[in-house]
Amino acid sequence: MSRWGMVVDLRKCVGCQTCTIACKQTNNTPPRVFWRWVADCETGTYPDVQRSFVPMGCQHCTNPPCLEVCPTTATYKRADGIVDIDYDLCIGCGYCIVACPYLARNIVFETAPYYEAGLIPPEQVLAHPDRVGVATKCNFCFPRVQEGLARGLVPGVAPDATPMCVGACISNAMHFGDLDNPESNISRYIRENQTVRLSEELGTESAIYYIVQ
Amino acid sequence: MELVPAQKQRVWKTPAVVNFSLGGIGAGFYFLALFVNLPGDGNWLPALLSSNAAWLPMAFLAALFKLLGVALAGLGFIALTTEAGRPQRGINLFRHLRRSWMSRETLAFFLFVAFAGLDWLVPNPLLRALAALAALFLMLAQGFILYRARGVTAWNTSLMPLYFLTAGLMTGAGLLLVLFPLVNLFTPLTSSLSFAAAGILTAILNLALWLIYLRTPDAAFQNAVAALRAPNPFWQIVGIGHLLPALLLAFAWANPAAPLSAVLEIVAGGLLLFGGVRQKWGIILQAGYLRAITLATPHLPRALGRIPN
Repeated sequence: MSRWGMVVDLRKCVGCQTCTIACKQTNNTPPRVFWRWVADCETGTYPDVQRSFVPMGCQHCTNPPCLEVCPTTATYKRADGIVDIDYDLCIGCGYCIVACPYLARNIVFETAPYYEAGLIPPEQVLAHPDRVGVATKCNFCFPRVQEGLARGLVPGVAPDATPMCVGACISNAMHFGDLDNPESNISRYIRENQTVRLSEELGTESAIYYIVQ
Repeated sequence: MELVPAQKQRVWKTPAVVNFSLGGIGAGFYFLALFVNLPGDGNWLPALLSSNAAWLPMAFLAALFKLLGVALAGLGFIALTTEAGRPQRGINLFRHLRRSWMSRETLAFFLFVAFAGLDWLVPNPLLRALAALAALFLMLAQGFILYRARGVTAWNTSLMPLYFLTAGLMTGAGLLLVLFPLVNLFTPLTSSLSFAAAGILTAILNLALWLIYLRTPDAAFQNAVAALRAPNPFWQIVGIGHLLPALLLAFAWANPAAPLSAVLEIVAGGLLLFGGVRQKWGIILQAGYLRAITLATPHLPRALGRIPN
């Protein structure tokens, strides 16, 4: 069985936010909801400061704090490691949002338009009423991944079987693949580079690795 | 290295404070009210059916003491429904009893309601004991809910369940002291001294935990609770909400015959209620910072867009 994960090469990310927009377009997320976002980080002390960009989102943790607290089992972990939400079970209590240490989860209580005039026709067509009043987050575009697999494609290699943020990345900084396959693209990246994961001290064992050197 | 600084959580707001406060007050009150000896207990039906009108007030009082705690905890749950996105699916709350403390809290609440309600209808020591256990479990479960919220630094501390237990008992004692004149009105033989003692003891225990909590030696934690360590909230909680009522109760305890002692107990009870609610409001709304996102690396690669010196 595959265990899907991601590698982000921070040496290549230019903070263009194309991944953010690709995600919004693919998943039709409402205003102010970002399943994929890029943190614009300033580090160091003046005058020795630097600016870096770190793509963020659900880390699809091996030990997800959100899953443990969810009272309804709406948050669940698939056999392939993807942490997902069953919108039909979720009551929108927000417990997973305060349990997640990665700011990865959102909840909206009404279908909000992007423009003051109200929902424009494309928004009306692409609205997801099932996502109102429940927690939402990145799901590694698993419908795409699954469809790709059904067509015999290799996720992380074939664009049609790969999350949209990875496929849209203009600097090839983001990679997707099977963490359990030592020959996969991302296993090779992890082996050949110095990688770290977000907030590792919490023991969540995130499935997103960041190349820092 | 801190990539994204800590920021206030904006999901759990006033309804959550109401739930945690009323849940604690209701459960703590029920637990302590069991020690009030009320002659009307178990006699509400005969009183209602008989023509002996003298029993009715006492039967009403017994019902009030048995059901008020349940009603308060219930109001807390109702408050939560205004915050949840899909409250009509509330039955799903029972689906994760194996791991989620919110599921367990819900179960504790319903057991509390069921046993306390049955005990009121058919007085029975076993039902009463079970209801008391459920009430204790409800207070602990609320503390565990915050403890297991790992995204919020100031909640994710093992002190939280014990703090919620003592806060629930303290505010329960507070409500009991406020309502005690009602008991004395009908049953003057009942003494409030033991409840004054309970108020002092729980206030001291809760205060000790609060001070330990505020001194948790962690930089992120200290930043999160900075607003609670500021002079105003600190003295509101410690001074007005704990020390003052403990002193008033100690005075009333030492001088039970003093004409003012009953009034002091009522005032102290009100202050204990204020202290407990103010603490929970502070924990949820003022110290509720989602933890910073960190990356364990001394340096990040420079962005390509950096302007050279």
